[in-house]
Amino acid sequence: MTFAVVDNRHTSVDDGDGKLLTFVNDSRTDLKGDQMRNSSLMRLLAVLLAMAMVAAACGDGDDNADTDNGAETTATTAAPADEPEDDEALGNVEVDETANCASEVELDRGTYAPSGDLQNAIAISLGTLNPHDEQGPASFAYYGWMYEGLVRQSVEGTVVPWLAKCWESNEAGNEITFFLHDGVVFHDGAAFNAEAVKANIEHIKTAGPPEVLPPVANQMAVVDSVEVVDDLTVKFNLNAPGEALLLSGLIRHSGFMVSPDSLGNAGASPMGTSPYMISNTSTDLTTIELVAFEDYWQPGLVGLETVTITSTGDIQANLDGLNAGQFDVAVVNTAQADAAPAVSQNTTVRIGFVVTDWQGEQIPQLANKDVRCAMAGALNREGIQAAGNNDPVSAIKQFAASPADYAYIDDLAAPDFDLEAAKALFDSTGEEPFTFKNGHIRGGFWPATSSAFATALAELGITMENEVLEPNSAGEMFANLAKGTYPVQIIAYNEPNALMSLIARTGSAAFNPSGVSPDGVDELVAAARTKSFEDGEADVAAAWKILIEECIFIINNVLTTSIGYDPADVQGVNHTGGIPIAYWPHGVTKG
Amino acid sequence: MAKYIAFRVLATIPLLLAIAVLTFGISVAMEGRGSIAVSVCGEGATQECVTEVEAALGLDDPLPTRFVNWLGDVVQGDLGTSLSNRNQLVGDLIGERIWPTLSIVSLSLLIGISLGMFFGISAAIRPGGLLDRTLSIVAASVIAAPGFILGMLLSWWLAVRWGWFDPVGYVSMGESTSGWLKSITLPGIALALPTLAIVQRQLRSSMANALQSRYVLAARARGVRSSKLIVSHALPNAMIPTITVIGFRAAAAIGLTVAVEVVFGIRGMGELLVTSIVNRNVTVLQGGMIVVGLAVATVNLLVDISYGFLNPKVRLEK
Repeated sequence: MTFAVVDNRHTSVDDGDGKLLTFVNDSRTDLKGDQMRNSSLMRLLAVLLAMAMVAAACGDGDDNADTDNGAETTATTAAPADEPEDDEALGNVEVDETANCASEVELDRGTYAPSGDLQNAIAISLGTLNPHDEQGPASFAYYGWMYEGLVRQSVEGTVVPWLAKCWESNEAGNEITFFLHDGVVFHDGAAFNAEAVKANIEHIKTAGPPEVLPPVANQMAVVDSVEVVDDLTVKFNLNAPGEALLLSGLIRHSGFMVSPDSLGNAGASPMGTSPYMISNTSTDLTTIELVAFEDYWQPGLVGLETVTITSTGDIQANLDGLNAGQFDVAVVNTAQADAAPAVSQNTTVRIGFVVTDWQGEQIPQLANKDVRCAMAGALNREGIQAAGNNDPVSAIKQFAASPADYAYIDDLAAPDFDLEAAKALFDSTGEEPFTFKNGHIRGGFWPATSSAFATALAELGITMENEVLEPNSAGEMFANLAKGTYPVQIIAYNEPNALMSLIARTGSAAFNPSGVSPDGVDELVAAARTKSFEDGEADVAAAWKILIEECIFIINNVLTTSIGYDPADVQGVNHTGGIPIAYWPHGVTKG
Repeated sequence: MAKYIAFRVLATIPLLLAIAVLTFGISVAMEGRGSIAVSVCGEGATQECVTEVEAALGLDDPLPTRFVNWLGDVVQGDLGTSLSNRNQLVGDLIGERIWPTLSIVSLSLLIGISLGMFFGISAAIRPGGLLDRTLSIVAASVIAAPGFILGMLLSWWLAVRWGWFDPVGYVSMGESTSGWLKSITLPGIALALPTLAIVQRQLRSSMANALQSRYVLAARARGVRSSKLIVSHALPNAMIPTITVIGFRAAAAIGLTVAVEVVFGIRGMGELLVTSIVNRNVTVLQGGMIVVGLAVATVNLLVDISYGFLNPKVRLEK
């Protein structure tokens, strides 16, 4: 059986007999059937893979990489669903997605009645309980249980208010005011208020490593100062218009609010505002036990008495434990989703190549648009996906995976895969073949995708030499992108407004060392910066269009990650959009 | 005998020193200037932080000084803190991880040696018989199949399908004795099967030879009972080469637990060492290697001492 995303709301399922079934997606799946199918083979393959990883690890070095890019995020199939669309029926959480203070909705905070013990399995492990000292998006699968932010990403992948009831921007777009919920307290009893927000942001901007990773601090680079207006109102003064830039940062690690007394010490004293607080951990954080937080500000969303998060180190072990009833919820390999009782899936990470040297400062030929577009035309996206045993539908040419996604471009004129046409285009430029380097993270899809592109470029006579980043991390990847170290570099990104996030990470929309943007991009980005997410969508799409049609961004595919669970046992597990292997624990119940 | 044991213990000291040198050397070779500091300072580490960490870790000192300082700390039981999380003491980390590995290895050796001896002796009593031939085929198959494949099959049938055991994870003895046994049984068996097969084949071979030797024939002619003949006369001699094999298997089992730990989702020493290599967590790697090295040296020592017990000629030579 194969699955394919038709769009964000619908998924087609090939039942293996040639029949194509289409389901309403809603980011959930309930896959019934032979749960154990192909399991022995999968187990064998998984262990052989593990052995290969061991061998690789022993061969050379460093992989403290972005944790969402290893075994967890493997396949690019996506979600069929036959569950009802009613969010409440699944213990989902309703939020005011408009974020408009004028249309503020009073929350029904519910009654505190936690029940049951949830066993949750994840293959990756967590390095620290301090959310500001970690940047891999997959770590949200842990931090989401402990911390909350002013805003967060919804199941659909959009930005929604959370600890903030709503926010407002001034006309210039450089003062963003958040109005906070009352009655919110940290696990240590401290009040969550405007002072706490100010303390958190100032800590993030000034503490530095190892308390705060520079990439996390960079998420708040647009913030000039934070001002306490009153106890429940806090104003962010930005150094330039940029509501979208600010929100892009606040939905990531820099947005997790830590009790002021624990700032800088959250690794040892993890005090957030979430429905669950830590009761015990193993020394290496491979087992984390949590208990219900009875002072949680929305008591009705505390559905469980206790939670244990176990890092098994092996995604196949997760599946076995899930099927044996040892785990209630477990991250599973998307390619094995049909072996789980049910899975919640979502698209999470987009992968592509950026021609950073499109000004031709290192490789003069790259200044020629036809050369870049010949390179884009040589990229067999669907072939790469098929070679990786992934669904070709996950091959994309723009950041948005479907028309329902943010900043979808309807009339994109990016080159399709056509090797002969690409060769002809390259030949027509009269440019000499050239050689350049691409830096990628070790493991996961990175080397395979980089290698596939190198093979494609070789058809044009272009040599792309791939090397592992040192240090081997997502931070290093974006740092190199900002510096333009590599003329062409593979990147992955997963924020809802990825363009603005990339700008926040790299400092400008230029994506090249000389700081020159393609015509029109700076203006569109500047316009988007003065607007809200929604209002700026057209500008962002237009900027993307230029960057993609200029063959500066060559986007390849989107990954889908999967969380397995037994729907008879657990309710409310909905994979978060844009964040690998994570679901928000609010409203998850058992029994 | 005491003299012999004392000699063997003293002879272990150079081995331990060699392990320490090797551990330190490998760690130095892999740490790479700068990357160790980045591990501590985090991504995008500033030069100030790198310099500070290098000074704090003594990376600017000459290698001999670093080695002596490090060895001094190790001898005092101070293995330092993890580079990836400064809140974690390496000693605590290893203390937590070593029990699953020790439990699995111990159980595997218990099963592998006892059953291997039983089947080895049984096969040797009638060489070429049905039991002998059957066991030979089974043993060859088990040796050919890596332990993790056997583990997967066991996990699939006994844990996932029939639910007799937990397929994943480790329960400490303090938490639940029955849970502990359940959690280590399958990985223990998976790791034991190759040991069982090798011990069986080795003992079968040496036992068959012993049973055909003149002193056994003489004893048999004197009317010594078969059971006494096997246990008191043939077995001590047949065990000498088998003990050597057991020593190798015990040392190898510590290394082979990596794959079994992965299959059963157990966070043990094997997984810790692999992760520390991947993350270039030098302090954890050093601590882990020292502990594993100590364990292997201890096994070697026990094997040597057992030679002395089994063969008087060995202890007389020393």
